[in-house]
Amino acid sequence: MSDREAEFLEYVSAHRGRMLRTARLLASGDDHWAEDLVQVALTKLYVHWAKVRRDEGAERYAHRILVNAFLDERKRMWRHREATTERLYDASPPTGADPADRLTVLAVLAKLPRRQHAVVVLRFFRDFDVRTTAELMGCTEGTVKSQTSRALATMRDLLHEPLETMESLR
Amino acid sequence: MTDLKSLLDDAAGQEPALTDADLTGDLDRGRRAVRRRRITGIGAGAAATAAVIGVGWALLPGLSAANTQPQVATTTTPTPQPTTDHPPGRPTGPLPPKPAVPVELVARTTQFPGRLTCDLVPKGWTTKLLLRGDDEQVELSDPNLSNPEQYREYTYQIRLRWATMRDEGHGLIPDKYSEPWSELPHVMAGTKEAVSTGKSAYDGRTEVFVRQEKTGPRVIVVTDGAVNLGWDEKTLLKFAGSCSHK
Repeated sequence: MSDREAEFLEYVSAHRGRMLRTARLLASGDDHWAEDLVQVALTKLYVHWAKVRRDEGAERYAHRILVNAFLDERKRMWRHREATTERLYDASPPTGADPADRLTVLAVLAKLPRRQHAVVVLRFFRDFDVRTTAELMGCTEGTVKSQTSRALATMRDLLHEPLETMESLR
Repeated sequence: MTDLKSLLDDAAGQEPALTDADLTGDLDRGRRAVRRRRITGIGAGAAATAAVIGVGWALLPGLSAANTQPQVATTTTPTPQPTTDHPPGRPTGPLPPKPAVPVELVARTTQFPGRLTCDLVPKGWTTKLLLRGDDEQVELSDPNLSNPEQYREYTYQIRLRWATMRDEGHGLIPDKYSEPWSELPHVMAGTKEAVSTGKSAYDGRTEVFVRQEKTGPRVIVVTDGAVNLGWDEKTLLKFAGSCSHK
């Protein structure tokens, strides 16, 4: 194994779990789709590893690819799945929170337009600021702000409760 | 007051345990992708070399005994291959009738239903808005085609969609491709730069990505599989070049 591959695996070991959690929210709880998104992002990360490490950092790049793969896939007329390996992915549901609450939140996310959906995940789950979110999504900061505002309004309506977002501090 | 961060944190579930199989799979997929890129690069390079040799052969006098007449040197641009994997098996079902004469491209006289619009349209065809918003999609079809559902999907309509190229750090990339726009072979759609997939051997469709600004990420993607139009690529490019987003 080359140094490059060892470095890549070190990165994957440290970040794969967190990427999968982000992808689960983007995929509205579809664990197979989430795994696909992560695999797409990591594959592209491997291909461009040297350049990415040198220029912008692996984590930023991986998030950009993850979000772009999500945005891209939802607008395709058909969905392209990653090739499977000999090992089938075990999509057993995550444990922890109240399943009913979890499903409600995921259902609400699924109802958001895709860019609003991505903005919510990047800003309120990954805690990226407006500028970083805009860079990751390839849009302006103004677009991120307006998408955030619309998304929160929709979520409040659908969840039937006010949301504490610490928006004033962002 | 409910904290959104907590809601999302719970909904994302716990971090799964990482296994050796995960790591091996990620590494294998990466290695395969690198191999694919190398093979694609070699293929494109070989095609370009063959074209250069072909041109040189045609232009150098006396190399061929039969070369007594001026020869027209032709080069071919390798058709870019979309990266999308198709499901196995070709689409089945009857095709709509091919017209004896290609349907004429005429100036638009009615408004399109959304923000996508084209100055030129196939004569007599009508538009339908399929999707509104950032990913607007419009379909054009012949209202006089009886019982179109009997025909194979995508063989009797043209679709337009408003799309954004993705930025992966080494240039803007149209969806379905893995190479940046700057590295793809270009054609002109009217006055606009475009990339064409060429006619798919799989389902006969041609997709044309027409860039809307010189440096911006926005493209209009025109998908034509309409057998009942009888268009060649030149006509399709003329049509695609007349389309814009209001």
